[in-house]
Amino acid sequence: MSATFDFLSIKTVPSTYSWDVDGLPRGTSFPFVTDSSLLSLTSTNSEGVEYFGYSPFVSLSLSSSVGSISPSAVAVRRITDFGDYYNSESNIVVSPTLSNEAFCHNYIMPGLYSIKMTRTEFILVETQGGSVGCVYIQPLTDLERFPLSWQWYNFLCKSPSPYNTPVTWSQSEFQQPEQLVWSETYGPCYSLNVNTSQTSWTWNNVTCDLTANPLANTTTWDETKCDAPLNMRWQQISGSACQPTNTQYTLSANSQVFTKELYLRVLEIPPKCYLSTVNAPTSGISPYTVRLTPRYIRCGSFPIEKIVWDLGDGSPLLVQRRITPNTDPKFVYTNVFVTDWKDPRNYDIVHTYNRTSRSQFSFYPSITAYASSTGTSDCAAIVIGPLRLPEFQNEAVGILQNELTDHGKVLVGEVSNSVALWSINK
Amino acid sequence: MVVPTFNSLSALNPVKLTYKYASEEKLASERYLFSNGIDYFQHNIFDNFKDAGLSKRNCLVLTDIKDLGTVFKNSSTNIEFGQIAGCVFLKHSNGKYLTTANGQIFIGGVGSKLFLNVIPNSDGSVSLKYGKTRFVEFVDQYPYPLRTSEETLIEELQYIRKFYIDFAGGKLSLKVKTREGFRFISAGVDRIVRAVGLELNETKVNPYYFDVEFITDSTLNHNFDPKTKQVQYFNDLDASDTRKTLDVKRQSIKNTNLLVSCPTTLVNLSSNEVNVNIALTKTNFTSFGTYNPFQ
Repeated sequence: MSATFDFLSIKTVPSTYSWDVDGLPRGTSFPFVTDSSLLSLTSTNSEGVEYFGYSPFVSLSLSSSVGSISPSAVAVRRITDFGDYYNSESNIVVSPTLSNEAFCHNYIMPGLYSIKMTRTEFILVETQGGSVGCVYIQPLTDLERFPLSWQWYNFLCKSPSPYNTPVTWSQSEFQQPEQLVWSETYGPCYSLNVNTSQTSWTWNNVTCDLTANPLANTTTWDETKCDAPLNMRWQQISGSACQPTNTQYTLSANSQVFTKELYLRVLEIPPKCYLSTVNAPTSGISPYTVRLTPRYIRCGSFPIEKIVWDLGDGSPLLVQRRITPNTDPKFVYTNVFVTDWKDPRNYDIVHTYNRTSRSQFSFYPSITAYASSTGTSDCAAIVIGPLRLPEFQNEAVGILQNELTDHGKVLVGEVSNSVALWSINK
Repeated sequence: MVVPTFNSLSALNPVKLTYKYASEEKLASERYLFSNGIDYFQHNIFDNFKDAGLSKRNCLVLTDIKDLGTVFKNSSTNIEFGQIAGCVFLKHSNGKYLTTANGQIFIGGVGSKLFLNVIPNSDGSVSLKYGKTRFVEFVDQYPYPLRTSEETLIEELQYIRKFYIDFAGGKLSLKVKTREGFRFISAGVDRIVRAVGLELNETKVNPYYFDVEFITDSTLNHNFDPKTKQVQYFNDLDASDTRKTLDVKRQSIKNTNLLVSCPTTLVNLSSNEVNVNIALTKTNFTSFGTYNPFQ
């Protein structure tokens, strides 16, 4: 029977999800969509089907069976790569077991993803007669570094061994000579099955006898101290498990790759932008002061990161960002979103519109809201107006002097204790 | 027989004044329009004026004692990074610099620090140049890794070298326009820089805001700061070094009345703004003619 790698289940948020309204998608009461028939489409990929879901949460599960194993295999490893470079910490899932497994991953960002599983069988190439050793001895001819987990299981050998050289932390760092990564902490589970024997490890004694009390030879931390009667040192375990050098084993690996190309499509729900005034009509008498609010903007898949304001009267654009609040005096902090004080929607704007003879009757301020991580945006506008001109009341106006010019007439006058100049065409 | 000409109030065209010598400084003003047709500019400089008149094709106004800072419009302009060119190093939120090795770009590691020349483009984007000939570009195929390249690109592919900067509070984000939409530049667990930024409020899965280490100035500030000051220079016998220089010993703000003038020949329908001349009045004499020593 060959190995399998098939769709198991999918779970996602509904298409009406909103980041701040519906909250984090978790828990048993969240209305996840799990019906795979509703979340699949016919596709031209090799599977003939493409699944889809919505950001910020799509949980995809695939089942895998290891299939038939070669009689001389000592271990099987399955590594699933979900193709997710965004949520990359959990992108690679490794299973060293022989049982049926479910491989799961949560996708956050929109995109079209391909998934790949690599099944590797480690086969013992040659065996020696006699008793089988209880620990794996790395081949001396091949100095390829084995995964980190082997370092933990490697004990110092009394006889010279290239693997007795320790690896310091700085050597094992990123792009350093002996780089080691946690994702490589796997390896053939040689310690689980060696022919018909089981190996169990205890604190400082290696035993090949599974029937022995696993706790019989355990040692507590206090007992290992230097001043304790039965003090233990790491070097004391060296040599107790190293096999005679005349026994050498060689492993070879046989891999099979299962690929699901363009298998999962994650869609983004864009934000919805709204702009309104606060407690005031949108029309009045110029100069008209109005308070504009973005508080009704609805998030989509992702929170709102930035709002750009265009006040519609030639004033400079104003930007309010999550990462750095804009303290321009036009902004008024409202704390509408009490659990998220950095939300740009917490800032209203107070602005005064002046109607002049050259401006229109109305003004059209607008805002554009940007979602985080994708920059997806939506915009909204509102009409301020029509604005009526104010009545000229109780203002002292006087013409002081006038002069004829080549173009017409120039008048100097006084209005509200200030000088004003006018010209009249010829 | 003289036939009078009647004009409505709306026939009066308001005149806006500005001070235009060497460079243009706008006078602070507001325009008012009323329902009965009166339309005028109120200039701060003329508030509570003393006198005004027309004489020999000149308009003259004697103002009140004025602080020049209130007379002119605040025209300070900050041209931010991204609108002007600059040279920077970028540092990830984990404290490691962006580095480059073999044409690839990483966070930290053994490569050399990536010294970026940020060059604004006309469409609001920027190009990132590395060295004399190499540009930073992204591969427009998921997962959109970044690399440096000195190849010449055809017009249709120029977009892979366009980055959109958002800079505020010392933090900078870079986004690129991929076939799937905008994506922010960041790195995952393997520390290879790609367009894989992902932040969910305080949860920074792949942080995409970088700290900027400026080699050039971060902003360009253009401003006009007018003041009327009275200065005193060193002239003491004891100040042997400074009495030969123009070092200022003391200075203080001494606002004065202003005499504003403009030729009436410049005032016509087609002129949007009319130039004025402004003269400070009074030196160290009081209005009564007595000496007003420096205080």
